[in-house]
Amino acid sequence: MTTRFLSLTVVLALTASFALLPYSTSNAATQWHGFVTQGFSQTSANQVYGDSQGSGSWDFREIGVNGSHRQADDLFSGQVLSREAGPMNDSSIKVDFLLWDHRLYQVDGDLSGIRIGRVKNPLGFYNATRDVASTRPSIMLPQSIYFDRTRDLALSSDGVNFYLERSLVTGNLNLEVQVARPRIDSSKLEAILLRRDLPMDFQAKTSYIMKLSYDPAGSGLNLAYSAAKVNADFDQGSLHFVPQVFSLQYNTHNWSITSEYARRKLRFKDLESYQLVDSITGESAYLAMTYRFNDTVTAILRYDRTYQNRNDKEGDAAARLGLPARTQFAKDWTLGAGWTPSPPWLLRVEHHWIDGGAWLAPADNPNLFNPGFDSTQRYWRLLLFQVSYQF
Amino acid sequence: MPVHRALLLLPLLIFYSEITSAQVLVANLEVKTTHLTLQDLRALIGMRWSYWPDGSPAVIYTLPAASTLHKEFCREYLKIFPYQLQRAWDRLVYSGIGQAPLQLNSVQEMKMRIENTPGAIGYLPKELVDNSVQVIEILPTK
Repeated sequence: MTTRFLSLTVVLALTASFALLPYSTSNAATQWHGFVTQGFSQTSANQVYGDSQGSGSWDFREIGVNGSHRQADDLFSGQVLSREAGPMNDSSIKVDFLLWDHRLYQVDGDLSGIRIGRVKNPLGFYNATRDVASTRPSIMLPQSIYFDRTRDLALSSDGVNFYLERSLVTGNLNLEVQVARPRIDSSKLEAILLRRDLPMDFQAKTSYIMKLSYDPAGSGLNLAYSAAKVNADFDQGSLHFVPQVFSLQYNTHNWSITSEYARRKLRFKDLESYQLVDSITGESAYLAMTYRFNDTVTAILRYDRTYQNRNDKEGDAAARLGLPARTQFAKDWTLGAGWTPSPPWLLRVEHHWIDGGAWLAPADNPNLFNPGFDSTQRYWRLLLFQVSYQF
Repeated sequence: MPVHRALLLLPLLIFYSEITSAQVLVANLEVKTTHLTLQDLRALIGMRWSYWPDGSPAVIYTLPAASTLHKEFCREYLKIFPYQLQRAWDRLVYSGIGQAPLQLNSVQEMKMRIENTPGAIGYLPKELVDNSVQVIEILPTK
């Protein structure tokens, strides 16, 4: 209830500040941005973003509008998004973020402040801007870390984010600590995290995220460590999701090499009657190489691997419980290219060669966890194409 | 060509050597800061500073990413790649924690804006720098 009140306060503050803007010839204070993305997906088996087998699916569209207003120590910003991605997202307009950023101090390059409202979750390199095509390194983010099927949960949450940036001689240090309530769609999450519907309601509780980044001066390196504790209560029992992400990137003029490693621990409490005991830890990692031929053409090669349970990498234990082994892992080789014919436009194409179905979405593949009816396959290929316009 | 005629060409050669795309960091005359460290400049151009150390609002102007002047400014002054700077701006804008700098279409517009906007900072080719703008020096790393 408190976070809903906070969000309402921010909406009112944002509206009021726009209404009270003095007419001015300087456009420095208020900015508008937006983007439109249209995608195409085609798979040799399994479904991604709609009915992708056969002649493919065009059911992928992202339309976003972003506004911000700065006044001295305060920044008000918001973004609304309509996203269609097969049956996973229904193109209804949703608020991605809506926040008030207040700068507490800025001295000698060190600064700190606080953000209140619906804030983007600072996890890994790409989570905070994952809905904008130009900030993604490829059409689809590495699914081992940035699962599309839990995107709504992962994207933003309602609460407070405290940030601190220190400019050291050796480099820049950045810390964010966030206390917020996640946006959870109960039934979607139960299906994904637990592979089934539990006959109880699921309530998001106050959760925590932190991210520490360090960019050593003049090195071309970016390093980050992010961790979260996402809590949810059932009528009886609770679960706690604790992901940790280690991120590293090296940049030169033509090359960027990026790698992220994640451990995803899912802990159950008092859920023994549903055969959910102790914890399961998933493990993910990817290595990507991007090459910039010139200012307008880039190519990417990536290997991305995920395990749902690091103690059951082949999926044998899951198979004994009736789940197909292939739902427990995914190994993905991706080759892609991007072209910017002129700055607002971005065209991308990429091909994935995949072994496993760990990140398939139940919404796209309804019988995913139902072995008798499931038609997903272990080895499959995915072709993606995307056009994006950004202003 | 007779030597005395060739000597007349000398000023022309010097003039030409100055029309390389050497860029200069400049700011509005009312800006009280005259020197910045590299970290300070990165924080300014990277849109992390909303105001100057004296508390007056900072207005950052840039040229399009494709412009040679912009690319050389990134390399010579900021010592980062233009794509890294663009990434940093995008990250601010699309997570709602900052704004993008104002992008202008020509060096003439850049000069006019810096002259007329209190708190403005940007970059110009050397030959356009005159008394209507102030040159900002970069301090050696502390």
